[in-house]
Amino acid sequence: MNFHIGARYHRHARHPEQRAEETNVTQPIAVFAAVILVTGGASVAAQAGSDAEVARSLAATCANCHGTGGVSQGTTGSLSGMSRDELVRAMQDFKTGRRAATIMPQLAKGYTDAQIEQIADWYAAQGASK
Amino acid sequence: MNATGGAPRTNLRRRALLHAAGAAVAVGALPGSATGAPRATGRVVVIGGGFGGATAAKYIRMWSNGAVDVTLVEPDAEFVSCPMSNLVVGGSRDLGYLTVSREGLARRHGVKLVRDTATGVDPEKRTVRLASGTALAYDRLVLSPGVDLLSDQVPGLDSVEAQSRILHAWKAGAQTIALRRQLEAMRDGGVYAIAIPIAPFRCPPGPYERACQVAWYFRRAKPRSKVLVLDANPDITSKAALFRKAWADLYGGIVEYRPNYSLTRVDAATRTAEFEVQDAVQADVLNILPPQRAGAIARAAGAVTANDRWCDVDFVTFESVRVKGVHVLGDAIQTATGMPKSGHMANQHAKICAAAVVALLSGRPPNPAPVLNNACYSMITDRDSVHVCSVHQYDAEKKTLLPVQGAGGLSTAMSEQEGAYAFAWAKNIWADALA
Repeated sequence: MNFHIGARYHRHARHPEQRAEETNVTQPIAVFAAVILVTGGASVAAQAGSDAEVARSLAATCANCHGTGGVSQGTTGSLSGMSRDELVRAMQDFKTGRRAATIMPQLAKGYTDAQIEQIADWYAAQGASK
Repeated sequence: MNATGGAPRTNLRRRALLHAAGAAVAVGALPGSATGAPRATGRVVVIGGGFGGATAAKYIRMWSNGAVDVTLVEPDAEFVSCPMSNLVVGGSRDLGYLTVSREGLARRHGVKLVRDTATGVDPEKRTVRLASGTALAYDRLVLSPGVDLLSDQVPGLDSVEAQSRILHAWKAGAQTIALRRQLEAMRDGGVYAIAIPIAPFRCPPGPYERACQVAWYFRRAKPRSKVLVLDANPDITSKAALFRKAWADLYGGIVEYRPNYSLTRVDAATRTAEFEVQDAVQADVLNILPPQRAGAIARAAGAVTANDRWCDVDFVTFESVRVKGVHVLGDAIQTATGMPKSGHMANQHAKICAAAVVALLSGRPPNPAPVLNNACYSMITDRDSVHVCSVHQYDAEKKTLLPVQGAGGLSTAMSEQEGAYAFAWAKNIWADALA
Protein backbone atom coordinates (compact mmCIF):
# COMPACT_ATOMS: atom_id res chain seq x y z
CA MET A 1 0.00 0.00 0.00
CA ASN A 2 1.37 3.38 -0.97
CA PHE A 3 1.03 5.87 1.85
CA HIS A 4 3.32 8.45 0.34
CA ILE A 5 2.32 11.86 1.63
CA GLY A 6 2.94 14.69 -0.78
CA ALA A 7 3.78 18.27 0.03
CA ARG A 8 1.34 19.83 2.47
CA TYR A 9 -0.48 22.98 1.65
CA HIS A 10 1.37 25.31 3.92
CA ARG A 11 4.45 24.83 1.78
CA HIS A 12 2.52 26.14 -1.20
CA ALA A 13 1.91 29.56 0.19
CA ARG A 14 1.10 30.99 -3.20
CA HIS A 15 -1.48 28.41 -4.09
CA PRO A 16 -4.43 30.30 -5.56
CA GLU A 17 -7.08 28.60 -3.44
CA GLN A 18 -5.25 29.46 -0.28
CA ARG A 19 -4.70 33.04 -1.33
CA ALA A 20 -8.43 33.38 -1.80
CA GLU A 21 -9.23 32.51 1.75
CA GLU A 22 -6.61 34.89 3.02
CA THR A 23 -7.93 37.82 1.11
CA ASN A 24 -11.22 37.57 2.86
CA VAL A 25 -9.70 38.27 6.23
CA THR A 26 -6.69 40.45 5.46
CA GLN A 27 -5.61 43.38 3.37
CA PRO A 28 -3.97 42.36 0.12
CA ILE A 29 -0.49 43.53 1.10
CA ALA A 30 -0.52 41.39 4.21
CA VAL A 31 -1.72 38.31 2.37
CA PHE A 32 1.53 36.68 1.46
CA ALA A 33 3.00 37.09 4.92
CA ALA A 34 -0.18 35.84 6.51
CA VAL A 35 -0.16 32.68 4.46
CA ILE A 36 3.36 31.97 5.61
CA LEU A 37 2.58 32.58 9.28
CA VAL A 38 -0.79 30.94 9.59
CA THR A 39 -0.25 27.30 10.20
CA GLY A 40 -1.61 24.70 7.91
CA GLY A 41 -4.24 27.20 6.93
CA ALA A 42 -6.86 25.34 8.90
CA SER A 43 -7.62 28.19 11.25
CA VAL A 44 -8.12 30.46 8.29
CA ALA A 45 -10.79 28.21 6.87
CA ALA A 46 -12.54 28.22 10.23
CA GLN A 47 -12.40 32.00 10.49
CA ALA A 48 -13.44 32.71 6.94
CA GLY A 49 -17.17 33.06 7.09
CA SER A 50 -19.57 30.97 5.13
CA ASP A 51 -19.94 33.84 2.63
CA ALA A 52 -16.33 33.34 1.62
CA GLU A 53 -16.89 29.63 1.19
CA VAL A 54 -20.01 30.17 -0.87
CA ALA A 55 -18.06 32.54 -3.13
CA ARG A 56 -15.24 30.01 -3.41
CA SER A 57 -17.68 27.27 -4.39
CA LEU A 58 -19.43 29.51 -6.92
CA ALA A 59 -16.08 30.44 -8.46
CA ALA A 60 -15.12 26.77 -8.61
CA THR A 61 -18.01 26.10 -11.00
CA CYS A 62 -15.99 28.04 -13.63
CA ALA A 63 -12.81 25.97 -13.16
CA ASN A 64 -13.72 23.12 -15.53
CA CYS A 65 -13.12 25.45 -18.49
CA HIS A 66 -11.09 28.28 -16.92
CA GLY A 67 -8.72 26.26 -14.70
CA THR A 68 -8.40 25.61 -10.98
CA GLY A 69 -8.41 28.98 -9.23
CA GLY A 70 -9.07 30.58 -12.61
CA VAL A 71 -5.58 29.80 -13.96
CA SER A 72 -6.35 28.40 -17.40
CA GLN A 73 -4.28 25.60 -18.91
CA GLY A 74 -5.77 26.02 -22.36
CA THR A 75 -6.86 28.74 -24.74
CA THR A 76 -9.81 29.64 -22.51
CA GLY A 77 -9.12 32.91 -20.69
CA SER A 78 -7.75 32.93 -17.15
CA LEU A 79 -10.07 34.54 -14.61
CA SER A 80 -7.53 34.76 -11.81
CA GLY A 81 -6.68 38.36 -11.09
CA MET A 82 -9.30 39.87 -13.42
CA SER A 83 -10.59 43.04 -11.85
CA ARG A 84 -13.98 42.85 -10.21
CA ASP A 85 -15.46 45.43 -12.57
CA GLU A 86 -14.10 43.74 -15.67
CA LEU A 87 -15.53 40.34 -14.72
CA VAL A 88 -18.91 41.72 -13.63
CA ARG A 89 -19.18 43.74 -16.85
CA ALA A 90 -18.26 40.74 -18.99
CA MET A 91 -20.79 38.48 -17.27
CA GLN A 92 -23.53 41.11 -17.41
CA ASP A 93 -22.81 41.76 -21.10
CA PHE A 94 -23.13 38.02 -21.75
CA LYS A 95 -26.24 37.80 -19.59
CA THR A 96 -28.05 40.69 -21.24
CA GLY A 97 -26.97 39.80 -24.78
CA ARG A 98 -24.80 42.89 -25.29
CA ARG A 99 -21.86 40.61 -25.95
CA ALA A 100 -22.19 37.70 -28.36
CA ALA A 101 -20.41 34.40 -27.79
CA THR A 102 -21.05 30.68 -28.14
CA ILE A 103 -21.51 29.33 -24.63
CA MET A 104 -21.01 32.16 -22.12
CA PRO A 105 -24.30 34.00 -22.76
CA GLN A 106 -26.12 30.73 -21.98
CA LEU A 107 -24.12 30.08 -18.80
CA ALA A 108 -24.16 33.68 -17.55
CA LYS A 109 -27.97 33.64 -17.55
CA GLY A 110 -27.86 30.86 -14.96
CA TYR A 111 -26.25 33.00 -12.26
CA THR A 112 -27.95 35.75 -10.24
CA ASP A 113 -26.45 39.24 -10.22
CA ALA A 114 -25.38 38.71 -6.62
CA GLN A 115 -23.67 35.43 -7.52
CA ILE A 116 -21.84 37.11 -10.40
CA GLU A 117 -20.54 39.74 -7.97
CA GLN A 118 -19.42 37.05 -5.52
CA ILE A 119 -17.58 35.22 -8.31
CA ALA A 120 -15.96 38.46 -9.51
CA ASP A 121 -14.85 39.37 -5.98
CA TRP A 122 -13.32 35.97 -5.51
CA TYR A 123 -11.34 35.99 -8.78
CA ALA A 124 -10.23 39.60 -8.28
CA ALA A 125 -8.86 38.56 -4.89
CA GLN A 126 -6.70 35.91 -6.57
CA GLY A 127 -4.73 38.65 -8.30
CA ALA A 128 -4.42 40.83 -5.22
CA SER A 129 -1.61 38.79 -3.73
CA LYS A 130 0.32 38.17 -6.96
CA MET B 1 9.31 28.64 5.65
CA ASN B 2 7.97 28.15 9.15
CA ALA B 3 4.46 26.86 9.01
CA THR B 4 4.12 24.71 12.07
CA GLY B 5 4.00 27.12 15.03
CA GLY B 6 0.26 27.25 15.64
CA ALA B 7 -0.70 23.83 14.41
CA PRO B 8 -1.40 22.12 17.72
CA ARG B 9 -3.83 24.82 18.78
CA THR B 10 -5.56 24.65 15.43
CA ASN B 11 -5.93 20.92 15.56
CA LEU B 12 -7.15 20.85 19.11
CA ARG B 13 -9.82 23.29 18.20
CA ARG B 14 -10.82 21.34 15.15
CA ARG B 15 -10.81 18.05 17.01
CA ALA B 16 -13.13 19.55 19.57
CA LEU B 17 -15.41 20.65 16.78
CA LEU B 18 -15.33 17.17 15.33
CA HIS B 19 -16.39 15.62 18.58
CA ALA B 20 -19.08 18.23 18.93
CA ALA B 21 -20.37 17.19 15.54
CA GLY B 22 -20.42 13.59 16.60
CA ALA B 23 -17.99 12.49 13.92
CA ALA B 24 -16.01 9.36 14.66
CA VAL B 25 -12.29 10.06 14.90
CA ALA B 26 -10.05 7.04 15.21
CA VAL B 27 -7.23 9.03 16.80
CA GLY B 28 -5.03 6.09 17.63
CA ALA B 29 -4.74 5.05 14.02
CA LEU B 30 -3.96 8.47 12.62
CA PRO B 31 -0.52 8.89 11.10
CA GLY B 32 1.79 10.86 13.34
CA SER B 33 -0.22 10.33 16.52
CA ALA B 34 2.63 8.49 18.21
CA THR B 35 5.05 11.34 17.69
CA GLY B 36 2.75 14.17 18.68
CA ALA B 37 2.99 15.61 15.16
CA PRO B 38 0.00 17.56 13.84
CA ARG B 39 -2.97 15.30 13.29
CA ALA B 40 -5.51 15.40 10.55
CA THR B 41 -8.89 16.63 11.61
CA GLY B 42 -10.67 13.86 9.87
CA ARG B 43 -10.17 11.06 7.42
CA VAL B 44 -11.85 10.82 4.08
CA VAL B 45 -11.58 7.80 1.81
CA VAL B 46 -12.46 8.34 -1.85
CA ILE B 47 -13.27 5.33 -4.01
CA GLY B 48 -12.62 5.87 -7.72
CA GLY B 49 -10.13 8.21 -9.38
CA GLY B 50 -12.19 9.51 -12.30
CA PHE B 51 -13.67 12.95 -12.87
CA GLY B 52 -15.67 12.79 -9.62
CA GLY B 53 -13.30 11.02 -7.24
CA ALA B 54 -10.07 12.73 -8.29
CA THR B 55 -11.69 16.16 -8.10
CA ALA B 56 -13.19 15.41 -4.68
CA ALA B 57 -9.84 14.20 -3.33
CA LYS B 58 -8.01 17.27 -4.60
CA TYR B 59 -10.58 19.82 -3.48
CA ILE B 60 -11.02 18.32 0.01
CA ARG B 61 -7.26 18.63 0.49
CA MET B 62 -7.22 22.12 -0.99
CA TRP B 63 -10.24 23.50 0.83
CA SER B 64 -9.19 22.04 4.18
CA ASN B 65 -5.71 23.47 3.61
CA GLY B 66 -4.33 19.99 3.99
CA ALA B 67 -6.01 19.42 7.36
CA VAL B 68 -8.22 16.56 6.22
CA ASP B 69 -6.48 13.29 5.47
CA VAL B 70 -7.56 11.95 2.07
CA THR B 71 -6.92 8.47 0.68
CA LEU B 72 -7.90 7.75 -2.92
CA VAL B 73 -8.49 4.10 -3.80
CA GLU B 74 -8.21 3.36 -7.51
CA PRO B 75 -6.93 0.22 -9.22
CA ASP B 76 -5.59 1.87 -12.40
CA ALA B 77 -2.31 3.79 -12.32
CA GLU B 78 -3.40 6.33 -14.90
CA PHE B 79 -6.56 8.23 -15.66
CA VAL B 80 -7.85 7.72 -19.21
CA SER B 81 -10.54 10.21 -20.20
CA CYS B 82 -13.79 9.03 -21.74
CA PRO B 83 -14.51 12.54 -23.06
CA MET B 84 -12.45 12.92 -26.26
CA SER B 85 -12.00 9.13 -26.52
CA ASN B 86 -14.21 9.04 -29.62
CA LEU B 87 -11.38 10.90 -31.37
CA VAL B 88 -9.22 7.82 -30.76
CA VAL B 89 -11.97 5.63 -32.25
CA GLY B 90 -12.03 7.98 -35.26
CA GLY B 91 -8.25 7.93 -35.51
CA SER B 92 -7.40 11.62 -35.16
CA ARG B 93 -5.88 11.25 -31.67
CA ASP B 94 -4.12 8.48 -29.78
CA LEU B 95 -4.70 7.09 -26.31
CA GLY B 96 -1.74 9.02 -24.93
CA TYR B 97 -3.70 12.22 -25.52
CA LEU B 98 -6.42 10.99 -23.14
CA THR B 99 -4.06 9.71 -20.47
CA VAL B 100 -3.20 11.70 -17.34
CA SER B 101 -1.09 10.59 -14.37
CA ARG B 102 -2.68 10.66 -10.92
CA GLU B 103 0.68 11.47 -9.33
CA GLY B 104 -0.12 15.19 -9.17
CA LEU B 105 -2.79 14.40 -6.57
CA ALA B 106 -0.10 12.95 -4.31
CA ARG B 107 2.73 15.30 -5.14
CA ARG B 108 0.89 18.61 -5.19
CA HIS B 109 -2.02 17.89 -2.87
CA GLY B 110 -0.90 15.21 -0.44
CA VAL B 111 -3.60 12.74 -1.44
CA LYS B 112 -2.61 9.20 -0.45
CA LEU B 113 -2.94 7.02 -3.53
CA VAL B 114 -3.80 3.38 -2.93
CA ARG B 115 -3.90 1.10 -5.97
CA ASP B 116 -6.59 -1.31 -4.96
CA THR B 117 -10.28 -2.07 -5.42
CA ALA B 118 -12.91 -1.44 -2.76
CA THR B 119 -15.03 -4.53 -2.14
CA GLY B 120 -17.20 -3.69 0.85
CA VAL B 121 -18.31 -0.97 3.24
CA ASP B 122 -19.28 -1.20 6.90
CA PRO B 123 -21.21 2.02 7.48
CA GLU B 124 -21.58 1.32 11.23
CA LYS B 125 -17.87 0.88 11.90
CA ARG B 126 -17.07 3.34 9.11
CA THR B 127 -14.57 1.12 7.38
CA VAL B 128 -14.10 0.17 3.74
CA ARG B 129 -12.63 -3.19 2.77
CA LEU B 130 -10.19 -3.51 -0.12
CA ALA B 131 -9.49 -6.49 -2.39
CA SER B 132 -6.00 -6.80 -0.89
CA GLY B 133 -7.61 -7.53 2.50
CA THR B 134 -6.81 -4.13 4.01
CA ALA B 135 -9.53 -2.15 5.76
CA LEU B 136 -9.48 1.64 5.76
CA ALA B 137 -11.25 3.66 8.46
CA TYR B 138 -13.05 6.83 7.47
CA ASP B 139 -15.01 9.69 8.94
CA ARG B 140 -16.60 10.27 5.55
CA LEU B 141 -16.54 8.01 2.52
CA VAL B 142 -16.88 9.32 -1.04
CA LEU B 143 -17.93 6.82 -3.69
CA SER B 144 -17.32 7.82 -7.29
CA PRO B 145 -17.42 4.39 -8.90
CA GLY B 146 -18.80 5.33 -12.31
CA VAL B 147 -20.98 2.79 -14.04
CA ASP B 148 -20.85 -0.96 -14.37
CA LEU B 149 -21.59 -2.11 -17.90
CA LEU B 150 -24.10 -4.96 -17.74
CA SER B 151 -22.88 -6.97 -20.72
CA ASP B 152 -23.85 -10.15 -18.89
CA GLN B 153 -27.50 -9.10 -19.05
CA VAL B 154 -27.45 -9.03 -22.87
CA PRO B 155 -28.28 -12.54 -24.15
CA GLY B 156 -25.37 -13.72 -26.26
CA LEU B 157 -22.95 -11.25 -24.70
CA ASP B 158 -22.69 -13.15 -21.43
CA SER B 159 -19.32 -14.77 -22.08
CA VAL B 160 -15.74 -13.52 -22.03
CA GLU B 161 -15.29 -14.67 -25.61
CA ALA B 162 -18.36 -12.78 -26.86
CA GLN B 163 -17.28 -9.68 -24.97
CA SER B 164 -13.85 -9.81 -26.59
CA ARG B 165 -15.45 -9.81 -30.06
CA ILE B 166 -18.31 -7.38 -29.47
CA LEU B 167 -16.89 -4.31 -27.77
CA HIS B 168 -18.47 -1.43 -25.86
CA ALA B 169 -15.44 0.93 -25.65
CA TRP B 170 -17.56 2.86 -23.12
CA LYS B 171 -14.71 3.00 -20.64
CA ALA B 172 -11.67 4.55 -22.26
CA GLY B 173 -8.57 2.38 -22.48
CA ALA B 174 -7.91 -1.05 -23.97
CA GLN B 175 -11.40 -1.31 -25.49
CA THR B 176 -11.02 2.08 -27.19
CA ILE B 177 -7.89 0.85 -28.96
CA ALA B 178 -9.46 -2.52 -29.75
CA LEU B 179 -12.48 -0.88 -31.39
CA ARG B 180 -10.17 1.35 -33.42
CA ARG B 181 -8.33 -1.79 -34.63
CA GLN B 182 -11.60 -3.44 -35.66
CA LEU B 183 -12.46 -0.37 -37.74
CA GLU B 184 -9.01 -0.29 -39.31
CA ALA B 185 -9.27 -3.98 -40.20
CA MET B 186 -12.74 -3.56 -41.72
CA ARG B 187 -13.11 -3.70 -45.52
CA ASP B 188 -14.27 -0.63 -47.43
CA GLY B 189 -17.97 -1.13 -48.04
CA GLY B 190 -18.46 -2.67 -44.60
CA VAL B 191 -21.00 -1.76 -41.93
CA TYR B 192 -20.24 -0.41 -38.46
CA ALA B 193 -23.31 -0.64 -36.21
CA ILE B 194 -23.67 0.85 -32.74
CA ALA B 195 -26.53 -0.19 -30.44
CA ILE B 196 -27.62 2.30 -27.77
CA PRO B 197 -29.50 1.33 -24.59
CA ILE B 198 -32.51 3.11 -23.10
CA ALA B 199 -31.48 6.28 -21.24
CA PRO B 200 -30.11 7.04 -18.70
CA PHE B 201 -26.60 5.96 -19.61
CA ARG B 202 -23.13 7.49 -19.30
CA CYS B 203 -22.63 10.44 -21.65
CA PRO B 204 -25.96 10.95 -23.48
CA PRO B 205 -24.45 12.53 -26.65
CA GLY B 206 -21.50 10.09 -26.71
CA PRO B 207 -22.95 7.43 -29.03
CA TYR B 208 -23.93 10.02 -31.63
CA GLU B 209 -20.53 11.70 -31.38
CA ARG B 210 -19.00 8.28 -31.96
CA ALA B 211 -21.13 7.86 -35.09
CA CYS B 212 -19.70 11.19 -36.32
CA GLN B 213 -16.13 10.15 -35.61
CA VAL B 214 -16.46 6.76 -37.30
CA ALA B 215 -18.13 8.48 -40.28
CA TRP B 216 -15.30 11.03 -40.36
CA TYR B 217 -12.86 8.13 -40.66
CA PHE B 218 -14.94 6.28 -43.26
CA ARG B 219 -15.36 9.40 -45.41
CA ARG B 220 -11.61 9.74 -45.69
CA ALA B 221 -10.44 6.12 -45.67
CA LYS B 222 -13.38 3.83 -46.52
CA PRO B 223 -15.97 5.95 -48.33
CA ARG B 224 -18.24 3.06 -49.38
CA SER B 225 -18.79 2.03 -45.75
CA LYS B 226 -21.84 2.69 -43.55
CA VAL B 227 -22.50 3.75 -39.96
CA LEU B 228 -25.76 2.35 -38.56
CA VAL B 229 -27.04 3.93 -35.33
CA LEU B 230 -29.50 1.53 -33.69
CA ASP B 231 -31.10 3.42 -30.81
CA ALA B 232 -33.40 1.87 -28.21
CA ASN B 233 -34.65 5.41 -27.51
CA PRO B 234 -37.41 7.05 -29.56
CA ASP B 235 -35.03 9.83 -30.65
CA ILE B 236 -31.44 11.04 -30.35
CA THR B 237 -31.07 11.70 -26.60
CA SER B 238 -28.90 14.84 -26.80
CA LYS B 239 -28.12 17.61 -29.34
CA ALA B 240 -30.52 15.89 -31.75
CA ALA B 241 -30.87 18.67 -34.33
CA LEU B 242 -27.13 19.31 -34.40
CA PHE B 243 -26.28 15.65 -34.95
CA ARG B 244 -28.99 15.29 -37.61
CA LYS B 245 -27.58 18.28 -39.45
CA ALA B 246 -24.02 16.94 -39.26
CA TRP B 247 -25.12 13.55 -40.59
CA ALA B 248 -27.03 15.19 -43.46
CA ASP B 249 -24.43 17.83 -44.37
CA LEU B 250 -21.14 16.03 -43.75
CA TYR B 251 -21.89 12.34 -43.61
CA GLY B 252 -24.79 11.93 -46.05
CA GLY B 253 -24.91 8.38 -47.40
CA ILE B 254 -22.71 7.17 -44.56
CA VAL B 255 -24.72 7.57 -41.32
CA GLU B 256 -28.18 6.08 -40.97
CA TYR B 257 -30.14 6.64 -37.77
CA ARG B 258 -32.84 4.18 -36.65
CA PRO B 259 -34.88 4.91 -33.46
CA ASN B 260 -36.79 2.42 -31.28
CA TYR B 261 -34.33 -0.40 -31.84
CA SER B 262 -34.61 -2.40 -28.64
CA LEU B 263 -31.85 -5.01 -28.48
CA THR B 264 -32.87 -8.52 -27.45
CA ARG B 265 -29.90 -10.74 -28.34
CA VAL B 266 -26.45 -10.71 -29.86
CA ASP B 267 -24.76 -13.42 -31.91
CA ALA B 268 -21.10 -12.65 -31.35
CA ALA B 269 -19.84 -15.19 -33.90
CA THR B 270 -21.69 -13.59 -36.81
CA ARG B 271 -21.73 -10.07 -35.31
CA THR B 272 -25.50 -9.97 -35.51
CA ALA B 273 -27.82 -7.95 -33.30
CA GLU B 274 -31.45 -8.98 -32.85
CA PHE B 275 -34.25 -6.60 -31.90
CA GLU B 276 -37.69 -6.74 -30.34
CA VAL B 277 -39.53 -5.53 -33.43
CA GLN B 278 -37.22 -5.03 -36.39
CA ASP B 279 -35.17 -7.46 -38.47
CA ALA B 280 -31.77 -8.50 -37.19
CA VAL B 281 -28.75 -6.45 -38.28
CA GLN B 282 -25.51 -8.10 -39.29
CA ALA B 283 -22.44 -5.83 -39.15
CA ASP B 284 -18.74 -6.00 -39.90
CA VAL B 285 -18.00 -4.14 -36.69
CA LEU B 286 -20.71 -4.42 -34.03
CA ASN B 287 -20.43 -2.03 -31.07
CA ILE B 288 -22.92 -2.69 -28.25
CA LEU B 289 -23.41 -0.23 -25.40
CA PRO B 290 -24.85 -2.40 -22.63
CA PRO B 291 -27.33 -1.19 -20.02
CA GLN B 292 -25.62 0.42 -17.04
CA ARG B 293 -25.90 0.93 -13.32
CA ALA B 294 -23.89 2.42 -10.46
CA GLY B 295 -20.52 0.76 -9.89
CA ALA B 296 -20.52 -2.36 -7.70
CA ILE B 297 -19.16 -0.71 -4.55
CA ALA B 298 -22.21 1.57 -4.40
CA ARG B 299 -24.37 -1.52 -4.30
CA ALA B 300 -22.12 -3.17 -1.72
CA ALA B 301 -22.43 -0.05 0.45
CA GLY B 302 -26.23 -0.24 0.25
CA ALA B 303 -26.43 3.14 -1.47
CA VAL B 304 -28.36 1.98 -4.56
CA THR B 305 -31.91 3.24 -4.07
CA ALA B 306 -33.40 4.09 -7.49
CA ASN B 307 -34.62 1.45 -9.94
CA ASP B 308 -32.09 -0.98 -8.51
CA ARG B 309 -29.52 1.00 -10.50
CA TRP B 310 -28.64 4.43 -9.14
CA CYS B 311 -27.96 6.18 -5.83
CA ASP B 312 -30.26 8.91 -4.52
CA VAL B 313 -28.30 11.67 -2.79
CA ASP B 314 -28.97 14.84 -0.83
CA PHE B 315 -27.88 17.49 -3.33
CA VAL B 316 -26.59 19.83 -0.58
CA THR B 317 -23.88 17.34 0.40
CA PHE B 318 -24.12 14.47 -2.11
CA GLU B 319 -24.52 12.19 0.91
CA SER B 320 -26.48 9.04 0.24
CA VAL B 321 -30.09 9.40 1.37
CA ARG B 322 -29.84 5.92 2.85
CA VAL B 323 -26.27 5.38 4.13
CA LYS B 324 -25.04 8.07 6.52
CA GLY B 325 -21.43 9.16 6.11
CA VAL B 326 -21.30 7.87 2.54
CA HIS B 327 -21.33 10.37 -0.33
CA VAL B 328 -21.90 9.36 -3.95
CA LEU B 329 -20.77 11.32 -7.02
CA GLY B 330 -20.86 11.22 -10.78
CA ASP B 331 -22.54 8.76 -13.10
CA ALA B 332 -23.59 6.55 -10.17
CA ILE B 333 -26.19 8.96 -8.80
CA GLN B 334 -29.87 9.25 -9.56
CA THR B 335 -29.73 12.64 -11.25
CA ALA B 336 -32.22 15.45 -10.88
CA THR B 337 -34.03 16.97 -13.88
CA GLY B 338 -31.77 17.85 -16.78
CA MET B 339 -28.56 16.60 -15.19
CA PRO B 340 -26.72 14.32 -17.62
CA LYS B 341 -24.26 11.64 -16.58
CA SER B 342 -21.17 13.52 -17.71
CA GLY B 343 -17.58 13.98 -16.59
CA HIS B 344 -18.18 17.70 -16.26
CA MET B 345 -21.13 17.06 -13.95
CA ALA B 346 -19.12 14.57 -11.87
CA ASN B 347 -16.44 17.25 -11.41
CA GLN B 348 -19.10 19.72 -10.28
CA HIS B 349 -20.74 17.19 -7.94
CA ALA B 350 -17.29 16.65 -6.43
CA LYS B 351 -16.80 20.32 -5.60
CA ILE B 352 -20.19 20.62 -3.88
CA CYS B 353 -19.37 17.42 -1.97
CA ALA B 354 -15.83 18.58 -1.10
CA ALA B 355 -17.07 21.89 0.33
CA ALA B 356 -19.76 20.06 2.32
CA VAL B 357 -17.36 17.41 3.65
CA VAL B 358 -14.85 20.05 4.79
CA ALA B 359 -17.63 22.03 6.47
CA LEU B 360 -19.11 18.95 8.18
CA LEU B 361 -15.70 17.80 9.42
CA SER B 362 -15.25 21.25 10.93
CA GLY B 363 -18.59 21.08 12.70
CA ARG B 364 -20.14 23.73 10.46
CA PRO B 365 -23.24 23.44 8.29
CA PRO B 366 -22.72 22.96 4.54
CA ASN B 367 -23.55 25.65 1.99
CA PRO B 368 -27.36 25.43 1.81
CA ALA B 369 -27.57 26.76 -1.78
CA PRO B 370 -25.18 24.86 -4.06
CA VAL B 371 -24.93 25.70 -7.76
CA LEU B 372 -23.51 23.65 -10.58
CA ASN B 373 -23.27 23.80 -14.33
CA ASN B 374 -22.77 21.44 -17.23
CA ALA B 375 -20.84 22.11 -20.41
CA CYS B 376 -20.55 19.30 -22.89
CA TYR B 377 -18.82 19.44 -26.26
CA SER B 378 -19.28 16.80 -28.95
CA MET B 379 -16.72 16.53 -31.72
CA ILE B 380 -18.37 16.41 -35.14
CA THR B 381 -15.10 16.18 -37.11
CA ASP B 382 -11.50 16.07 -35.89
CA ARG B 383 -11.71 19.81 -35.16
CA ASP B 384 -15.32 21.03 -35.26
CA SER B 385 -17.53 20.81 -32.23
CA VAL B 386 -20.99 21.61 -30.84
CA HIS B 387 -22.03 22.14 -27.23
CA VAL B 388 -24.91 21.82 -24.83
CA CYS B 389 -24.84 23.55 -21.46
CA SER B 390 -26.99 24.24 -18.41
CA VAL B 391 -26.86 25.84 -14.96
CA HIS B 392 -28.57 24.23 -11.96
CA GLN B 393 -29.46 25.98 -8.68
CA TYR B 394 -30.61 24.30 -5.50
CA ASP B 395 -34.29 24.72 -4.69
CA ALA B 396 -34.63 24.57 -0.91
CA GLU B 397 -38.38 23.94 -1.02
CA LYS B 398 -38.20 21.08 -3.50
CA LYS B 399 -34.88 19.91 -2.02
CA THR B 400 -33.34 19.35 -5.43
CA LEU B 401 -31.17 20.98 -8.07
CA LEU B 402 -33.22 22.57 -10.82
CA PRO B 403 -32.06 23.85 -14.21
CA VAL B 404 -32.34 27.64 -14.41
CA GLN B 405 -35.08 28.47 -16.89
CA GLY B 406 -33.87 30.68 -19.74
CA ALA B 407 -30.25 29.71 -19.16
CA GLY B 408 -28.24 27.05 -20.92
CA GLY B 409 -28.70 25.92 -24.48
CA LEU B 410 -27.06 24.54 -27.57
CA SER B 411 -24.69 25.68 -30.31
CA THR B 412 -26.37 27.37 -33.24
CA ALA B 413 -24.02 25.48 -35.55
CA MET B 414 -20.82 23.45 -35.34
CA SER B 415 -17.60 25.44 -35.58
CA GLU B 416 -13.86 25.16 -35.38
CA GLN B 417 -13.94 27.82 -32.66
CA GLU B 418 -16.06 25.54 -30.49
CA GLY B 419 -13.66 22.73 -31.35
CA ALA B 420 -10.85 24.84 -29.87
CA TYR B 421 -13.01 25.42 -26.78
CA ALA B 422 -13.61 21.68 -26.52
CA PHE B 423 -9.87 20.95 -26.48
CA ALA B 424 -9.33 23.75 -23.95
CA TRP B 425 -12.16 22.33 -21.83
CA ALA B 426 -10.47 18.92 -21.84
CA LYS B 427 -7.11 20.33 -20.87
CA ASN B 428 -8.58 22.39 -18.06
CA ILE B 429 -10.90 19.76 -16.60
CA TRP B 430 -8.18 17.10 -16.65
CA ALA B 431 -5.94 19.51 -14.74
CA ASP B 432 -8.78 20.63 -12.46
CA ALA B 433 -9.37 17.01 -11.46
CA LEU B 434 -5.83 15.64 -11.41
CA ALA B 435 -3.13 18.30 -11.33
